[in-house]
Amino acid sequence: MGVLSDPKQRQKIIKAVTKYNKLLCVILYLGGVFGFLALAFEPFHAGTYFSENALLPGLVENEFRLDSEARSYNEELHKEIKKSDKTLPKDWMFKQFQNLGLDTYYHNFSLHYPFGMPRDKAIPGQNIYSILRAKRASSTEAVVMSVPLRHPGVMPNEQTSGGIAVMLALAKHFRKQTYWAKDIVFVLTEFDEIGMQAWLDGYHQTKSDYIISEDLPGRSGPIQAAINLEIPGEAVTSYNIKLEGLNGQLPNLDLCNLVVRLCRKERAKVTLNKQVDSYERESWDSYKQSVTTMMYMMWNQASGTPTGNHGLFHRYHIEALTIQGTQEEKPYKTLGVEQTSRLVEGIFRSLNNLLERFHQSFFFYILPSTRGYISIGLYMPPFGAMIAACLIKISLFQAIALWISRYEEEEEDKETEDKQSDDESQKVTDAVSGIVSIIPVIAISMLMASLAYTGPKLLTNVSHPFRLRPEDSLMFGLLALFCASVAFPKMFNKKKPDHAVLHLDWKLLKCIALIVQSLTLFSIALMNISLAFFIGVAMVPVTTLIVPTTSRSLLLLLLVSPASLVFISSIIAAWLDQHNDISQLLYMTWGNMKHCIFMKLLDLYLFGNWTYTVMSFVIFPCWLLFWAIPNCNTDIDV
Amino acid sequence: MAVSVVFCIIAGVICRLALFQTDLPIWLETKNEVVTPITAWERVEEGLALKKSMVSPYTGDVFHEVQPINSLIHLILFLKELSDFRTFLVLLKTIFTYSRLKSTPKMLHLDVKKYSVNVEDVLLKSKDLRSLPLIVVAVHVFNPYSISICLAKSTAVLSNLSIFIFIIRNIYKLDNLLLTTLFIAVSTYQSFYPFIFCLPVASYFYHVSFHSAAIIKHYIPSFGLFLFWFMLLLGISYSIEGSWTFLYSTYGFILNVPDLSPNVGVFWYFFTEMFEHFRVFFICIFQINSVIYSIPLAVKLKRSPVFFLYMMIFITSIFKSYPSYGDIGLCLSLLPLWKHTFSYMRNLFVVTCMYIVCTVFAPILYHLWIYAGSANANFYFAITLAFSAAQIFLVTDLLFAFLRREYDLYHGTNHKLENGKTTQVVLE
Repeated sequence: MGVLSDPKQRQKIIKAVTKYNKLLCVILYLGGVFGFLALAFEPFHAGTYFSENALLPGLVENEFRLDSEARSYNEELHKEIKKSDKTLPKDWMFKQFQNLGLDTYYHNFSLHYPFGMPRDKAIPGQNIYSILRAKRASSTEAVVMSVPLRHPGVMPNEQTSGGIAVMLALAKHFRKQTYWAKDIVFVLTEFDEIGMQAWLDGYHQTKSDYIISEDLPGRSGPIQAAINLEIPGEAVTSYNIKLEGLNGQLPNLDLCNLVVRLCRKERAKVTLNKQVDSYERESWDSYKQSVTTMMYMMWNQASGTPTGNHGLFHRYHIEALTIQGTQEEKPYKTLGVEQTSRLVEGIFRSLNNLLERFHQSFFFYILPSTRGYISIGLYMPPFGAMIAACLIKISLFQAIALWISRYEEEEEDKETEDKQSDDESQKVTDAVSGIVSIIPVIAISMLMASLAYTGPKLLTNVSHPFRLRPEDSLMFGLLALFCASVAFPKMFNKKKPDHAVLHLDWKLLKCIALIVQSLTLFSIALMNISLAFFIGVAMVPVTTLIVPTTSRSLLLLLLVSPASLVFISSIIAAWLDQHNDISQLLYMTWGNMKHCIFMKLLDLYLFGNWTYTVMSFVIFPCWLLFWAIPNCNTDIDV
Repeated sequence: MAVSVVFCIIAGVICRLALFQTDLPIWLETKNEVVTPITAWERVEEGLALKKSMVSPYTGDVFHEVQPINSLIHLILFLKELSDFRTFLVLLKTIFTYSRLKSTPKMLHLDVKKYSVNVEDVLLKSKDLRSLPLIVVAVHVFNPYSISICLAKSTAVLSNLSIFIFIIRNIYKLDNLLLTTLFIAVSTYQSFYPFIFCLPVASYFYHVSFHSAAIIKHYIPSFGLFLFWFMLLLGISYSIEGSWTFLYSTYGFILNVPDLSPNVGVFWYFFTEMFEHFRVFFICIFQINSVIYSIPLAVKLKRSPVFFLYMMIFITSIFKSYPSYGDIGLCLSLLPLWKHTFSYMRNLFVVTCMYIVCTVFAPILYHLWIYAGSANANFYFAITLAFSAAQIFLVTDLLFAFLRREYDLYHGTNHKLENGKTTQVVLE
């Protein structure tokens, strides 16, 4: 068993680790963080390529010639909107699809608002969808094209009328073609994600507590892929690809590559999170641009909220992304409906070629530009190095006490003169009492975590009679809970007036807390690397370095508490919204924070977003374990 | 002592009943680390339904338990959630008996005259033994693996129960070979692998007879009696079922491993990759692997049959064809029996971390593989492999520790060379 059984070799490792412990921690942490960021540099990551040959994106010859039709659809749509006094002309759209000879249906759903509203008061909604049956197959597979129906009153660049026009024109074109092997489902959803979720629930016959969805009258086979269009008007200047889905899930990289490739074929500008690729490859400016793109993507992924309707498909094992048309002030080149339609046509014809589900290429990746990707094999080592800083710290405390047999330890005692080992040998003698002394801390953190997780439901029920808005009641309630848990070490003090502070085996507690933290971060990283990375960057240095009874540790720990993490992320969100003025920034932050907690909870109830669960049920108790350390007294311990 | 043990058991019962009120049992029932095709409660219910409609429960490929289990469960259906608590009681009695037995000086240190001086540190003292029941019960009551199988209503609870009864029989009724072999037969009848426990039992009777006859004279009656009981039980099954087809559905299912749904063992991944051509050969290899270690251990651990028995329980639970958390719960509950060797163990920390990491990661990777579709089978297999590795580390570490303590008992704890330098004993 090599290292595990040979005591001599192991002793060497232990000695090295104890001697250079702090240095190793710092090197590993900094190496991890900077290594992670360095991956955005173009020579350090691989260029994208097609893994699934069946897509054959280059072979598709565009045949779409109905651009005048698309324009007239757009004009008619605007006329209808004006006629119907600024409401959505759903009946008109329904009729258009029916006129094309497609199976067209309404899909009704209702939304029970989770906070405070009486249960019987439901908000009704209606989707329209239409199925083009494939001529070459018997409805065993399908691909989806969806456009959100947005109220005509929203900002002009958030309109989706262009997408609807493109969809209608393409439907007209597609139904004349003979090569379809998969059904094409055209979906128009109301209330953005809520309508989409209702439609997906109906399609897959799943149930939700808050979105009550009618059964679908017509359906097709399993959905292979979905493209969501957010095209504001007739002319756009560039296409923006949105990938990030619910809980940080991403579509298969091949789908993203396909869209990028076809955009290039149309000579259209294509961006990721509105960040343009730089032209140079190995310069400082291009690196800065790549890091920015990567950070934007990670920021969106870390939030766990889908950036568009596509995000909800991922949970059903369907690859999906959103193509958003952006309009700039001074366009270098405008792209009309014909380009958009040809792009979408190309995507659907490539998808039509698919022989099996997307299974090649990557599902775990970060994109620093449209032409390169960082795969899981590349980003995991720097991330692991960052977490290894905690593990090295654990080994300092625990290696001598538990791992090594006592004979080796006795030798350690003779050799190392610092009192570290004395502490350790003392701990071995009362190891059981050590564990017993920290059980209350663990129990309290678990209790607080379950309160934080289940609290919101209670709070919103209470807020109604007090005429508080649910946002406010949630915010203040959770803040109160946080303050209560911050004060919990003080509760211990009261109990034993003769001793100043409860006796705690802080080293054991720190070990356990560090193990829990590394385990949590790794588990999160498996599902959502960005969230784990941001939490790790903030928490790891503080939690590895804290020691008892210094006010500096207290302050630093407060700075990385879940509440301040939410606050910091709200500041960043406000700053990204271009609120540069300090007073305005702080004002916006407060609003953002309220909104953020509220939205995360709403997402949890409506779509099953895990971000709130992770923060309240996993990160919060972990942080509370650390919080007990600077608050405990070491006098008795030493 | 007795009060705290009772308190522990009550706490365990409350803990389980409270968890039954949450959503956890429903989630656990679908976890393939917790339930296997043999022990899943869903399948038992299916078997019951088939029986009710006068169809043999073994038609189709759903039910794999032996028939009387079916009837037994029928009887205790209303008490199904409590079957785990019965395990506590039996366990408790086992441990009390064991500690009483061990504290009789005759048994504790049979060869005390041969021991070296200066070994007081590593000798077992009756004080330690008195606290043993509490520790074992506490470990069993709050062991997440035991709790999980209880919540998932896995029938592994019953097979664990029969193994516990067997151990208590073995230790308590010192001279009763007849009953001991009967209980081996009952456990074997349920989960097949316990047949190998005949070896430690024979070794045990050799030991308690103060090595009066050659060891082979103990093997023959143990195996003979065991076979007699086992055949009798099969005969009962035949008379209930009316045909021998149940043999294929139960033991055939265990031996031939037709169901390759993922679990914490090593079989499933290997045989999904296997060419059909070589299947029989490798099935034989894998099944022999799960019992072959009994032979070297029988030679090495001739003097400590109870430890040998524990080793065999542990090893079969790693290498059996459908392992689950139930088997691990059983092994971990009994682990504190060897508390006196823990100070010799080297990798306890690493193994503990491996256990925790695997237990947390397994459901996450399963989710990513099956539901999210972004990971694949290799991710999950890596975790099950790491889990098996952790168990093997633990079992070898325990064995080394046990042997190392034996060595110290005979040679003293201070190892000095002639020139006065301290030496280290290295096991190679």
